[in-house]
Amino acid sequence: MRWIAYFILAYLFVGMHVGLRGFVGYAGAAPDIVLLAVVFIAINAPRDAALLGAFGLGLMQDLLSAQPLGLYAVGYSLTAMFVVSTQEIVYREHPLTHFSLGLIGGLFIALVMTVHGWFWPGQPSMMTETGDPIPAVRASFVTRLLSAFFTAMLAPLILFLLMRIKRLFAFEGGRKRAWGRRS
Amino acid sequence: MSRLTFNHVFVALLFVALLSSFVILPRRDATPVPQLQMLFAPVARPTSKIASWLDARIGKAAPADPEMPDGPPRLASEVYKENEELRLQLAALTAQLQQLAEINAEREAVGDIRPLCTPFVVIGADAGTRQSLALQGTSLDGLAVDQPVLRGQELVGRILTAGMGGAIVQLVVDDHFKANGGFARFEAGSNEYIPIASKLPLVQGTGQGMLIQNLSLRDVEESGLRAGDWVVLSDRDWPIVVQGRRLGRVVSITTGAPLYARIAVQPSTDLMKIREVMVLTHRTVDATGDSKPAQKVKQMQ
Repeated sequence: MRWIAYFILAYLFVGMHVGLRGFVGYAGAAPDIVLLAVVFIAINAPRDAALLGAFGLGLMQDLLSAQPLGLYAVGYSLTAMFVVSTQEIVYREHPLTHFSLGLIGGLFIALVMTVHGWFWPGQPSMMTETGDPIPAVRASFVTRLLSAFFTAMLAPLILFLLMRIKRLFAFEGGRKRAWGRRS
Repeated sequence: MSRLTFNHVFVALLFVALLSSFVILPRRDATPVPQLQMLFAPVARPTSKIASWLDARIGKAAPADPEMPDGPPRLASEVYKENEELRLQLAALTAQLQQLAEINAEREAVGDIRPLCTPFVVIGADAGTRQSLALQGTSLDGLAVDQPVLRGQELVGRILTAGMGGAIVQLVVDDHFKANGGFARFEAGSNEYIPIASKLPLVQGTGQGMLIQNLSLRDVEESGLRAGDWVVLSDRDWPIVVQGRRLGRVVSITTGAPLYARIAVQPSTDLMKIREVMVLTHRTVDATGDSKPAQKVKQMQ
C-alpha cells in the first residue's frame, strides 16, 4: 500500500468528519465517515497494512475526541480484522457489500462504545449531599445503532467514489509483493 | 517469521489501546484531549462552513419561543428578538444580584458581559461521540481550562482543554457535564422574572440534552415547575457574571427513579451547530476599562 495516499485519505476523512459532525445526522446519531475509510482500506489492502491502517485511523480520530485515547483504535481494528477476513469471499465492488460492511463496522463501533459506557458512564450514579440518589446517565444504545445504520447508508456512495481512485493506493502491488515474499 | 512479528506488534498495540481506553485514561479527571485540531482546520473548517450553509437552507428552522406574545407580522422578528434578549438579561441580572447579596459582595459591578468575552470561531466538532467543539484559538489567545463559554446570553459550556494546538469546549449537553442550576420563568404577558423555589437541581448532560434527576416528585409538584420553565446556572464554582445564564428550558417532567422526577431540559438551539462562541476570557473590568484575566473555575468533574 502507498502510505502517502493513505495519509492524505486519512487527513481528508478525519477533517471532513470533524467538520460535518453536528450537521449530518438525526436525533444525536451521526454517520461515521472515517469508518468508511477503514472499510475501504481493509477491503482492498493486504492484511498487515489494512490492520495497521485501521489502527492508525482510529488513533487519529481519538486524538481529536474528548474520549479516552484508544477507543476508536480498538473499534476500527476490530472492524478491519473482520473485513480483512472477508476479503476473499465478497464482491468488493458491489454496493450491497459496502452497505453490509458499513453496517457491521458501525455495529462493532456501537458495541465498543456501549461496553465502554457500561464501565465508564458519562455520569455515574451518585448520591447528593442531601442523600438524594441520582441514577447513572448512559448514552442510548439505540442512538449508536442508528449511527451504524446512517454509516451503512452512506457506504455505497462513499465507497463507490473511493473505489474509482483505488489505483492511487497501489493495493494490488503491495498484495502481490507480500504474497511473493511468503511463497 | 515476519508474519509472527507483525501479529505480536499488532496485538501489543491493541492491548495498549484497550488498556488506555478502558483502564488508565477513564480514571483521570482531566482527559488528555486533543491538541491537534488546528492541524485539521484546513479541511474541517470549509467542510463545516459548507454544511452550515446547507443546513441553513434545507435544515429545520429553530422553533419559536412559546412564551412570546402573538402579534402582527410587522417587524415581529425584531421585536421578539429584542424582547428575548431583555428577558435573558433580566434573568441573568436578577440571579447575579441575588448571589451577590448572598456573598455580601454588593460592590462588585454587574456590567455588560461583552467586554469580558472574546469571540472564537468553531473549527468543528468532536471526532468521537462526545458533545464538544474545537475552537480556533489557543492558550496564547487567553483561553484557559474551565472558562465559561457563551452564545448570546446563554451558557453553552466551558473550556475543557486549551493548549498551543487548540482548545475544546465541553458543551452543557455533553454526557460528562454537570452543574448546579435553578428554575425560573416569565409570567405570560409580562416581563416579570420569577425564580422558582426548589431544592438545588443538579443539571447533567446526556449527550442529547440535559437531565435533572435529583428532585423528588413532591418537590417538583410543590414548586409548580412545568414545561417551558427556564433552567439557569446557579453554581458557585462558576464566575459570578455567568450566574443566572440560561442553560435551557424544561421540555418534560416524567417519573424517573421511584418517587423521583426526571426533568428533561433542552437548550434553545442545537449547540453542535454553533459556528462562533464567546469565551469569558476576562473576569473583571477595572476602573480604567481594562479587563483582567479570568480565574479558573473549580473543575466540575
